[in-house]
Amino acid sequence: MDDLQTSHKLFHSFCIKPATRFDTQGVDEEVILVLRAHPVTLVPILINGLVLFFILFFTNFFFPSFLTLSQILFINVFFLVFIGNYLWFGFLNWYFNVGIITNKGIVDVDFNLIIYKETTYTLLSHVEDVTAKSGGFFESVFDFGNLFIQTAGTERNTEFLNIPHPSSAAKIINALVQKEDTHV
Amino acid sequence: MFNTDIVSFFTGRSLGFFFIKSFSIVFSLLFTVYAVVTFKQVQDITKAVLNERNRFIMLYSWIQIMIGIALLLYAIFFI
Repeated sequence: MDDLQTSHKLFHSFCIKPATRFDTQGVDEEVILVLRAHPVTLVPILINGLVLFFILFFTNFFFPSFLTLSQILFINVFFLVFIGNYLWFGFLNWYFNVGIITNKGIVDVDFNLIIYKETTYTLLSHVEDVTAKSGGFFESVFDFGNLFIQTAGTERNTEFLNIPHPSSAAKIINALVQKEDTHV
Repeated sequence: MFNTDIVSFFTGRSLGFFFIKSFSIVFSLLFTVYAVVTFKQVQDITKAVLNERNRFIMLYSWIQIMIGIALLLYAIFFI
C-alpha cells in the first residue's frame, strides 16, 4: 500500500490517501481510500432542479392579477429557496454517504434523508470476501458499480453502492486484507 | 360572509390576502425548522467524518437558517 499516491478523482468520490479523518479512528490508523457514489448519480437531481426552475419561471406568466408585487416576490423567492434546498439535500446525501477504508478496517457512513445516520465499522481481519459488481449501460460508460464486502459470522455485511472504479477499490481492499492476514 | 367580515375587520384586507399571508408564515416557519434540523444533523455528521471542506458545508447550513428567518420576517412584515 506504500506505493499508492495521494489523489482525488471525480469530485472527491474516489480519494486515495486523503486528509480525511473519522471520529473512531485509532492513533496508528491511516485512511487509505475514501469512496462516494459516482458524481453521475447526481445528474437526475440536477435535471429535477432544472425542471422545477422552468416550472417556476413559466408559472410567473400565469399568476392571478389580484396578487401584489410583494406576494409574487415572496412566492418566487420561496420556490427558488425550495429548489436550492432540494439540490443541497441531494448533495448532502451524496457527500455524507461515504465509505472509508483504512489500514485497520472499513467504515461505512450512511446518511439518508437527513434524519437517519448509521456508521458501521468492520475490521479487515473479519473480511471474508470482496465482490465488485457492475452492470448496465451507464455503469459501463462511466465505470461505476457496487462493492459488497462480506464479513465473518453474524456481523453485518458492508456495501458501497454506485462507487467509481469498483474493481480498483476491491483490489486495494484485497491487498489490505492480505497484508493484515500476513501480520496476524 | 360573516367570516369574511371578521377577517376584514382585523386585517383591513380581503380573505384571499389573509390566506396568502398565513400560508406564507406557516411555510416559512416550516422551512426554518427544517433548516435548523438539517444544521444540527450536519453538525453531527461532520464530527463523524472530518475534513477541510466541512466548514463550507456548515457555513451553507447556517446560511439556510438565516434565509429561513429572513423569509419568515418578510412573510410577517411585508406581505
